[in-house]
Amino acid sequence: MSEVIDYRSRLSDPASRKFETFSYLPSLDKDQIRKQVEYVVNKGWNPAIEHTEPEFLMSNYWYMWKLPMFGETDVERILAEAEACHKANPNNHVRLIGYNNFNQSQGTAMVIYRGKTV
Amino acid sequence: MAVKTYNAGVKEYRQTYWTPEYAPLDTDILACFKITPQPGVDREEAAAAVAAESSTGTWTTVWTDLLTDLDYYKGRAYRIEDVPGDDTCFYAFIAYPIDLFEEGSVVNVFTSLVGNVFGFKAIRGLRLEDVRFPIAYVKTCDGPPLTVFKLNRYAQPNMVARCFSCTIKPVGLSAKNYGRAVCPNVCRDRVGLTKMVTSTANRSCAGANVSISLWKPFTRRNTSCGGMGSSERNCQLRKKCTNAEYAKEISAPIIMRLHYRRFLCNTGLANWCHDNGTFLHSAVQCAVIDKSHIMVFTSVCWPGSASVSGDHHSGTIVSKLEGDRGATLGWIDLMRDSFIKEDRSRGIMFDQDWGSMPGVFPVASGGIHVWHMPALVAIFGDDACLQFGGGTLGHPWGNAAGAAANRVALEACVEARNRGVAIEKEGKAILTDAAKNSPELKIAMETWKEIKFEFDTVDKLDVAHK
Repeated sequence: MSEVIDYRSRLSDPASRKFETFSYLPSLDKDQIRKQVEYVVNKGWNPAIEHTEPEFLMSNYWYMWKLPMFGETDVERILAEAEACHKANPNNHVRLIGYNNFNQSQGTAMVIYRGKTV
Repeated sequence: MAVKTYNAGVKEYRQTYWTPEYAPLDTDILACFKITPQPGVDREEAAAAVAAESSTGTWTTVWTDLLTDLDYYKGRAYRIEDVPGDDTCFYAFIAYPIDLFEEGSVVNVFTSLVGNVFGFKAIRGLRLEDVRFPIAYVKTCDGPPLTVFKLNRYAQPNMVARCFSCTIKPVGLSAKNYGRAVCPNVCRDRVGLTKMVTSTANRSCAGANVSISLWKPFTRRNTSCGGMGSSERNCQLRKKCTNAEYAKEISAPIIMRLHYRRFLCNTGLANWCHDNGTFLHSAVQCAVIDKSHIMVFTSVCWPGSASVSGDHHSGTIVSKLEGDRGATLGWIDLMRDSFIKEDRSRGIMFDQDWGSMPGVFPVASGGIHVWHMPALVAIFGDDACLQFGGGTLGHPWGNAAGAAANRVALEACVEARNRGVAIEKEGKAILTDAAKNSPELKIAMETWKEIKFEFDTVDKLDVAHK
């Protein structure tokens, strides 16, 4: 019999909770985050920042950080907003969204600052 | 008004139905057939025969023709083209007036286009290559009940790069074992949906019990750790309503139907889904057995998209199932985009304007595993449904680990693609890198590294010019 390893994932273990896009990868570092922001900008999507307490991560609506940055193409400014949101809510998940107004939905969404799970 | 007199007898189809001078109207429904005529039947006659038999004509002149205005309703063969690389057949373009068909019923259109004409003796082979529906007709169709952008609104908050994994085999488990195989492991990780195979649903052991076994763990996950799992209940024509009603009762958000076997219940089931906010999954993998006598998938996309389901199986190119790359890319466009230009290299014979009809998910399935992920992401992009059956269940450590491995592979590819990496070329490096942090992916890559499905495609596009 081949060796089988148990997959460590428990409903009772908040640390094993996933939050969709890129949550199965190690947290993105600064450079990787910048690349994702560039991707959103290059796609012509409208960037937006949202955050939530980790215990409510599966709720459909997160807190909006200000309004979506319509027409913003400056990667530095987008990164600065994300960081400002993270500083103001250090325990929360902070996600980057790219709103695609042509297909009227989110082009992408990913957690870029991981909060403190309880 | 011209007066016609009745002359009984057989006359050539071409006298009435071959009209090369006809310029198709913007409101006409256009179809392109590839026809292989019987020896001795010329092209114009064969094309006219298909136009006649798929619209108003029959083999002989009937007196009732004169009770109506035939010119208003008849189909017209208006163009004939050579098929590149094949002298035995030709393309026939046929225009049908919009009033020949019932509005809002793609099924009604296809009962004419792929009706008795396929059993017609004067032709040896017939393929419905593509259909152009006019925007006037499109606007009479309700469209799919839940679609790409609607699902984006309803589904998990962070679900954008999606991997709907699924578990569909084997057949013949007891209800409880089925639940055991599918749910408790898989749904602990984010498999978007799990699917019940038809033959399981048909068995006496299945039915309600299976659904409950399948559904309970999802409810548990949804309430305790969040997420939207869904189980596709297979809905049959005979049992359609009771099955669908039952799925609703247990809050299953997705039901499934088989495209061909239950073609006729399409619209009814879709309407039910509209009313109840249910997502309809459509299982159609074109079985290409006789490639000269078939309705090509390009035309199958239409009924799938316009009237019925929120997603649709397409070819996958890299999997164990049939699929020409160009054609598959064409079908994917056809399902998701709102305007598709004619592109012969992708099997798209007409410009197609979908208007505001929302796109649906193309589905990749059939023998796909982690090694296929770079190609799948490159081919399908976002807004696709990737179904890993064996690729989840067959993981050496079980399906929870299998699901996790698939997710890691998917996310690594999407992340790399967003960074601008050529993922098909760099696929191996991307996966190897991702596997450093995921023992599940690592073992999956070791298990399946030798498995390839590199057979020549049977059903090819006609692009090779002589």
